[in-house]
Amino acid sequence: MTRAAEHSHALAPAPRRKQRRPLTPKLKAGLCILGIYVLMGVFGPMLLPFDPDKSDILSRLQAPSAQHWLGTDQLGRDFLIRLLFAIRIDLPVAFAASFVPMIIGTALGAIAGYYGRLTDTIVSRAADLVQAFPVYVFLLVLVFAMGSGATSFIIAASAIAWVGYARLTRGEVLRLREMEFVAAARVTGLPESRILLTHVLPNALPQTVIYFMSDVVMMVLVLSSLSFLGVGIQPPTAEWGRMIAEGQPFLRSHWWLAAAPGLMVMVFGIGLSMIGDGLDEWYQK
Amino acid sequence: MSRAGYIAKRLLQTVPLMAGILLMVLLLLHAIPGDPARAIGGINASEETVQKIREDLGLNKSLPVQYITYIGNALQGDLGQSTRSGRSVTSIIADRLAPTIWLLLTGMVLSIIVSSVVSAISARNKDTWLDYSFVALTIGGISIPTFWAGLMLILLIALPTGLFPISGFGQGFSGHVNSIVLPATTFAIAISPVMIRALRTKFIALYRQDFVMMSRAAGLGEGAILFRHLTRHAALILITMISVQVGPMIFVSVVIEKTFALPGLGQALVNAVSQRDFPVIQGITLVTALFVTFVHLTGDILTSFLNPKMSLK
Amino acid sequence: MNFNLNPGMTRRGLLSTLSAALIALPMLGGDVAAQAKSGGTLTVARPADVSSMNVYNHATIEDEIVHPMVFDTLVYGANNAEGYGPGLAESWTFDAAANAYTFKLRDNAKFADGSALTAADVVFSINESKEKSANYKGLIAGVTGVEAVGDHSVKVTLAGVDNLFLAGLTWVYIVPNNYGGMSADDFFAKPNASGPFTMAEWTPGSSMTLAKNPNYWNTGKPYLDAVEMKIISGDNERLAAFQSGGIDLYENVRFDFMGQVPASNQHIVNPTARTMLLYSNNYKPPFDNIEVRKALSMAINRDAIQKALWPNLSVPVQGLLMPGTADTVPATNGTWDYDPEAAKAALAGSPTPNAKIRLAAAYLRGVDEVLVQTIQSQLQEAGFEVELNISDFNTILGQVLNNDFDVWLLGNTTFGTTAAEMFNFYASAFGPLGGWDLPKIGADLAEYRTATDKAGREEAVRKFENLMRETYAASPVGHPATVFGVADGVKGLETMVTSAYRLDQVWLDR
Repeated sequence: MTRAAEHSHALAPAPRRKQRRPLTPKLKAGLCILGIYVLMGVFGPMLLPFDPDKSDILSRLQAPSAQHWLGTDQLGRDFLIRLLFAIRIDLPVAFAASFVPMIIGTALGAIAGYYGRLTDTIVSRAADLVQAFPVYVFLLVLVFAMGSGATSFIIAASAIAWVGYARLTRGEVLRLREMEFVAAARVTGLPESRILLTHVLPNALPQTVIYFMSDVVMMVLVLSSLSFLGVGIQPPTAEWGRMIAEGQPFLRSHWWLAAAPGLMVMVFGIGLSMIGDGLDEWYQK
Repeated sequence: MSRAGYIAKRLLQTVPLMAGILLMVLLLLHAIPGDPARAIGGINASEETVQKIREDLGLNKSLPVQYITYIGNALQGDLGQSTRSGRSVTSIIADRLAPTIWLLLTGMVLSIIVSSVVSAISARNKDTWLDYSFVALTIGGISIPTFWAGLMLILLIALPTGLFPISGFGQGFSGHVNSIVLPATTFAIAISPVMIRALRTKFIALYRQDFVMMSRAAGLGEGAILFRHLTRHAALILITMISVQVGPMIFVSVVIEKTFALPGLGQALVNAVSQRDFPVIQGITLVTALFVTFVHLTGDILTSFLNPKMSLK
Repeated sequence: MNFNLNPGMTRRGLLSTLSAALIALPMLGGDVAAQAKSGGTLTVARPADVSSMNVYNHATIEDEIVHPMVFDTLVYGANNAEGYGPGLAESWTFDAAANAYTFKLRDNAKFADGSALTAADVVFSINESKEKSANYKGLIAGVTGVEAVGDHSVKVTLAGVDNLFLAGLTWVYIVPNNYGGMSADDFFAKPNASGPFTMAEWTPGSSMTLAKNPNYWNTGKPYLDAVEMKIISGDNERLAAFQSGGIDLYENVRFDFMGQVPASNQHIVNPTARTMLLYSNNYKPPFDNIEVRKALSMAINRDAIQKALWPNLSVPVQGLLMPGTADTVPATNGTWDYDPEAAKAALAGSPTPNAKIRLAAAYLRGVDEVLVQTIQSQLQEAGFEVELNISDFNTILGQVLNNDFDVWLLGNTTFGTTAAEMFNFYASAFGPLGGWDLPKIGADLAEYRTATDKAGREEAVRKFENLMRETYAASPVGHPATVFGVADGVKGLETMVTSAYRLDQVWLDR
């Protein structure tokens, strides 16, 4: 479970305005997977006449049937609706836990890279400090300290994950700062902040977006791991990691209870990785 | 800058870093809402007991005083006492170290072997179906929850064959070896894909380099080329790789220890979390943070020796 | 520890003198003893550690199992008409006119270090228990005088008829006079006692090793050379450890795992003298309001839980006191029935219609995540908003003692085989912490203590159960069984209805 952050091909000074280019097959496939997940998450639960959280222990651990397509779980809840309902938790939480640090990290990295000096020192040392920790262990402890739940997770993730974005943006900004088109903009007398926002940052963004995709995958994995360890999303809310943990005791008799949520995570991760890889190819075309 | 100068600078840099680490570990205690002493509580925790916990943890003192006391004690190897068992945190960590080290070492060795072999094959056969299938597997591997991979190994290998224990650390050396097989495999499943991604790119680049071309022209077999020229770079690549991956590796080992009930540091951390045993949580966080810093530092210094061309800034 | 299961026993029968030879041997299982082999180490996997080796802080079932292995008592509970059998005291007499017992100690009784155990030690121990025992001093509160009569006899005088005293005496652990000159803390760190085993090593929270006590008075016992107790808190982990063969005695098999333990290796205690209950904090909102407590009780579908989670592994809800123990009877007023509509209405009409509560639980002794989440779901059906607080037992106990809890789901096991122990425990520990009606419960307990016959004792119990049901002071969920996993070759294991067991008669055949 590690970060796929090796999309560091040096970009050519990106053209400011891109023509419409055809999507690569990888990108298409990835977007398809993401689209299917979103559709399943939004509409899936509406089509099933069950309450994902309400237990019915008298009909627990049933095998798949016409009524319950994937059977019922250890509390007698419809397993399929919980698998689908978990999309509504895992996806938004993982996206938020990547999006907030992306905003923070990109801002800090841009400022540090563009203005340098003291701001750079402060941001870089803070980043060093965070990276000196085994970050996800630190995240685990932070979530626990703040109390389990989605909000704690997003806050804790923001506290550590900004570093990756900051380093990435700082590097890009340092590179772009010296580019001709930036110098040209400077000559026209634009204020520095305008140049940063309109000339430098937009060109630094593609790498950030690619990194964001791998970060979302990472956050789904970390979220499910924390839930597996008991400090993430709390019962009865359906979450893939918890579902795997709760299925573990029934591995011998009802293996799908632990297997299916893992597949949901995996396919989602593959989808986002393909979007990331696809975007990388697409930008380079 | 001379190498000695670089090493000295790099060592000096770790001092404020360690001070920062210690501060963050200490602040953890204050991150809990409400009164930490009361939260820690315990059996028969009367007002006096809570007051005593407060004093034991130094919470009645100002933050700078607490900070200096904690550093002073930590330097002497005293990380406080478990609020649950009363044992010293240092001895708890010492007890729990073995399984974690076994897991990290075997897992790391296995990951290095798997990722080197796969990425070399992939690079050698770039843009063939073999390469593509490895790339596809890698993408899949990156997206697998570690503990799920462990459970699937239990389901598909341990349960049908009965060859490996599905939990615990076993008795004696052979018991340890037998019980570390599945956890180490899980570790490799979690760590290798990222390493493969990086190594494959590196190997492709190296493979194209002039000297490889020249050797090829000189009539050396392809296997020999890979071996002679790529291994020269392997140490460097691996050091960087381990340095970058050490943080995720530790998290992965926490999750694996829970999955396979290995009585290591990660289990101790998870237990301490469920018991709200703050000194233990702080101690383990501190030790792992110091370990990560140490690996980063060692990695940088080793790199400076192995790569004379590196700019020492 | 009380072996007695005989509901018809009479305390007045204790006038007679009891003989060691007649009673002790059947209890130890004569045919088993004949072929028993000595030697070997028994490994136990246990979900939680003892809370303390200081016997006066006795608080959990783990304490209840471990303390008697190291410490001995004058009297054991016994499966005979009297209810009690000889322990360190080989016999005793009761003088009804003076309300006084005289206990005759065994001549060969020694502490583990070889020093003789004498009357002075017993006098000291009874006085210490009476003063310090957190949970049992109430049982022996009726003691008005303790004196040595020579080196090997002790006379205990009571204030009057006392149905709690002998039950209490099964918890008076005998320690050396003045702790052999040590402080209590130092003594209990490495106790020198007279039980079948001595404590060789203890790593709190992790493991404890007991070694055979060579100076145990019961010559030839224990059969085992050593007992190693490992604390493996996770249900999955404990099962896995048992399956991998390193464990002889696997405590607290989760019900969902029974299919994975061969029937021949299961040891089921059903009924277990245990009440699964929702213990609410009646001092604070929302449970300070009776309507909310009523909603809590009526929201629980006890029949469904029994049928689905404990099939053939429980007995119907009887009350707060435990089935299988003497003198327990159900309430005659009120109800523990499931009534979802009434629950919703009661909560909606209360001052806190959307009560947000934290449900505390430790996965231990019959409580597992399926049960906890079932309760959570059923409470949410009634309109509660339920957040879970899952931790280990001691952490939650700490929160309860700090008045920092809303409701706690726990499998509460009695420490004895009559109503006496838990009745006293409810009055002295649960009652004060939960905000129960202490004056009334105290009066009921006093009535139980001094009742002259079984009907009188049952009447007192009935009053207590009625009070609990009328005020919904706490809500029982059921009485689940206890399941042990026992490895092949472990012989002579006998458990009590409390699910506690002694290891002095266990032996290994392999």
